[in-house]
Amino acid sequence: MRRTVGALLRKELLVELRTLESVPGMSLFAVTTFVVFHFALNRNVVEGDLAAGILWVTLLFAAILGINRLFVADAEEGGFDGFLLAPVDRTAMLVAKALTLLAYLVVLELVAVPAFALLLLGPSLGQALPGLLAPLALGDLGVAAIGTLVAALAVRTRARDLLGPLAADAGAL
Amino acid sequence: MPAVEVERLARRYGEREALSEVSLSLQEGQTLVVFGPNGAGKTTLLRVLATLLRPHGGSVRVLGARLPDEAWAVRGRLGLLGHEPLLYRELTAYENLRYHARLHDVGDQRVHELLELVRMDGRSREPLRTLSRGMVQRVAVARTVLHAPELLLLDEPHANLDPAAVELVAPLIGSASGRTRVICSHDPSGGLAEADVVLGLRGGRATLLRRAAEVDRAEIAELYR
Repeated sequence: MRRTVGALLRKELLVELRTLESVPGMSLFAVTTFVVFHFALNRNVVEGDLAAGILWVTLLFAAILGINRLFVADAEEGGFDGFLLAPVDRTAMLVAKALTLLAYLVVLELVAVPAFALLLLGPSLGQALPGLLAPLALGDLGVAAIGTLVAALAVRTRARDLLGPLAADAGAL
Repeated sequence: MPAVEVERLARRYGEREALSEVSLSLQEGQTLVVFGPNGAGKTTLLRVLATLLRPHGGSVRVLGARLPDEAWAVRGRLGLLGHEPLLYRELTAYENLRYHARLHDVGDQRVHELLELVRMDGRSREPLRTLSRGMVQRVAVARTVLHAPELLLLDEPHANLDPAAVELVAPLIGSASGRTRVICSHDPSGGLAEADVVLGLRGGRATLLRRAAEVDRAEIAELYR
């Protein structure tokens, strides 16, 4: 199982490094959204529930961009068939995809959280970071698990671009 | 025991019957060539035998395993070369083969050996999207035989290959490979030359099933009229 997950994870990250289809889009979306909030609210500082809400909603919507594309290469290039023909545990694909999404989320947050701090957070990032780390890590684990499941269910449907986000939102709620 | 044994196989896509009442038997080491016009059910038959589609009726045994219940026992023992190469366009030939080698628990040595055999060792570090269709097909052939499968399921295996490449892959997927093979073909001459048994499909039904020596080209041509 570990060998299979390793092979799948390596393949996923290589494909993303070559195409840059998910992580740059997710990061750009998050940063742009913070810029929009910055000007729309006409405030340099947000606090409490409002700050948490802006951060989580933005990260969740950015994650959906990655979730939507998580299985696309496999569906379009015969990756599922290639995997199904191998004598390996099917669960390995779900685990590898969840780890891939987790990696995407971590990279997203490395870009998005400093941008959030710069544009909308009162205290400096250094002050806020200790309090953010644990919720972000737990949130990432949840989004990665639910997002992978949703992406796997949605990828074979014609309305996957709609179904994926709706189901991911419902799951996150 | 036959390598492939199919009795009254049925497979539907929604209301449409893709295969109906198809029966055949193929001994180990033999080659079955399947002829039939587009939409006759050839690819569906291959995908059922490959465990990628469940049969909706009848019984299917592949390498002694009853499908779909014992599909796990046959995966890894068959190689499928279909219309899609089952390779990632953004990865190189080497990366694709190494990925499949890991899934099948095959060492890197075999990957290098196959890249040399299909003469792709010189272009093995380039993404597949930059290669010609013929080159991608050669890599797909290497992927198909990477794990030394007992049964080869080949859907128009020479598509996109030039004559030199056809000769190149012959030791891997041709009769010289010594493997049991099921081949879908539209080439009556080439197909008959390879076949021990011929199956003709039309509208999902078997209209011809005989030893190749007893079939002439006119009967194959009739399938397409």
